[in-house]
Amino acid sequence: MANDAFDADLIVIGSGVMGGIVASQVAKAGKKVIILEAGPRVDRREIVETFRNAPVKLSLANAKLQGAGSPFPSMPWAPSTYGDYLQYEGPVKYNTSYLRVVGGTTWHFGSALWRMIPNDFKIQSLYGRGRDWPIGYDDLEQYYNKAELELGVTGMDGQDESGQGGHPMPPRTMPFPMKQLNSSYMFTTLAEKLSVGGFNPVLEPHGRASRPYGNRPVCAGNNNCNPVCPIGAKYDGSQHIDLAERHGAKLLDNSPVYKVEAGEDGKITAVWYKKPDNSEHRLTARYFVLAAYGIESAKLLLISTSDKYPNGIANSSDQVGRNLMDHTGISMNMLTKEDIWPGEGPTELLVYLNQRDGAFRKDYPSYKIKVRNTVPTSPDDRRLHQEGHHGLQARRDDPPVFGPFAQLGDRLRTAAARRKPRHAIEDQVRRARHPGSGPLLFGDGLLECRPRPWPGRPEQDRPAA
Amino acid sequence: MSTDNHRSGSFLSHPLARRSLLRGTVAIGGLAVLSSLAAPLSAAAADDDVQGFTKLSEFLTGYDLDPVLGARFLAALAKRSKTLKADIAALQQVVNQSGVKNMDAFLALKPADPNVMKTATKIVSAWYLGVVGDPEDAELITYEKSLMYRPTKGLLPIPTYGPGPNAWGPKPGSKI
Repeated sequence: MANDAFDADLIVIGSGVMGGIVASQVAKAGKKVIILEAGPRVDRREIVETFRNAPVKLSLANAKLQGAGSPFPSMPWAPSTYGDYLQYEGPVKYNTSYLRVVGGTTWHFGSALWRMIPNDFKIQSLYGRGRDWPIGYDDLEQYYNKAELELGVTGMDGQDESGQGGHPMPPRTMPFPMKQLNSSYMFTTLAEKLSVGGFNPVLEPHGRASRPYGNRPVCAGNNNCNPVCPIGAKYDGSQHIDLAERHGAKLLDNSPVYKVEAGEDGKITAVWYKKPDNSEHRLTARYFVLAAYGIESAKLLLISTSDKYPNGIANSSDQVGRNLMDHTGISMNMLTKEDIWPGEGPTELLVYLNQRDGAFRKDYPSYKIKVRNTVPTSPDDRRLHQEGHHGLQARRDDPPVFGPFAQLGDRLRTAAARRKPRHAIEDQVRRARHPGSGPLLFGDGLLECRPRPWPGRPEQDRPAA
Repeated sequence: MSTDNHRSGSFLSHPLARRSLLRGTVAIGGLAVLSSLAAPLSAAAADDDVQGFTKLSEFLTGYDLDPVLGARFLAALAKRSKTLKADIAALQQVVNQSGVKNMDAFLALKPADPNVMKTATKIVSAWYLGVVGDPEDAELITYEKSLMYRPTKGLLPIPTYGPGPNAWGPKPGSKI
């Protein structure tokens, strides 16, 4: 239904999960859609190979902290956030790591896909903090259903996701599209043992297929949810871009938008983008959707200045680009007395939400305790080598398992089996960290806690010494 | 060939058939390695170096090892050390002189020369991590065949090489 006066009915800026879903819905409705993406298309196989061939393999947070790269490409016109593209000011480094590629940051997300709970919509009236939403959970519920079907969410029906071990929460009018994956031995063991201490286990809803879903195969326990799922069992935004294109949407990759134009009436009239050859192009549309993530969206609005809009587009409040909040976290290592084998199945599933909701929110924000489930073999091996265990310094206090030749192997196997699940305490409402947060009281000597100093993002892997 | 079992014999055991099949490939890799080590060498000499290095590595680690990887590890190590060939020869000599059949026995002798142990350590680290070099110039030789993954093979996945759908749940140790 394109009107000749416009290049498109809808132009979407950003090809991530938001842009992709909007674009695919509108394209399905027969409208002419153009998607503009600053970065390139990427090929899953190539990203997986780049990951496998990288000498230093790090978790997302550590790759960023330690200056290591990402297997995703960095282009001159869309530099990777793993380099020096983002300039920091202020006392605390903002370790964000979004991806500038077709499909966006969901390529490397952990794929947790939570609904909010009803109380989240009224924290001012309940807890005297922030603001109440103008709508409630019930108003959104049917849209949560639609979103979960689009994204293909796997979850466990009947859980109290408010973390109190009570009735099913939040209320649902539709079961999860897919039933939960198998719990791993570690998750089952921890859930049993920690329940005694009042910790209510919750298996998080997420975007890994537990049955064939669209083009997605079933999660195969590759334990590589980030930086990339090797088989595409985990949802990422490229899947909705594919869908949009199948319905006639046009994707322009390597096309960073640098200016948004608004008319006298304030309505957006056009956007400008560049191609890698530096040529400048203008596109018009009836409607525009800006879905370029927290930083890029604000950046684009702020640089789109004109005589009428000297502070940028949509910025009469002067609040655009302010109040940016990190997904804060702290991690701790645990050593268990018995073998519990982290690393089976997906990289995360078991969480604790005891501090999800309650009167404490008057004083500090809610948070989540996530049990990290990455394969510990590589970091353990690096540590053993750093500590001087090279298979040449036999220690007999660990029982040999594989025979007399494998001193290092024995230690490695024992270390891997007992290695501490990592608990990332994540500030659910993205508020400032609270000094009182993070009580990892897993008592009775089940787990020995070794806190790391703040900012203490998980030190998942260390580069070889 | 199964490379997953521990060797029960000495490092002098007979080369496996696959090794002979692969010798041509190895020789090419070996040439590249040794071209930086001064004297011109024949393909046969390079082949011998790789064979010797792989055998020595098998003695040090107690695993059957792939000579194709051996050639690549040797090349990467040689690129970073001008004295590597001499160091390996020194270590090999101490091992030979000791007359012992396995690493445990060798360690029991407590070799006096720290350089010998340093060379051995360097070689073992490389095979375990699959990586040679410092972080700044680290070079990956192998990912899924690095020795660190063998002790937990069948128990924990090598990331990106998962066990398949729903292949987890029972205690992993119970699977051995």
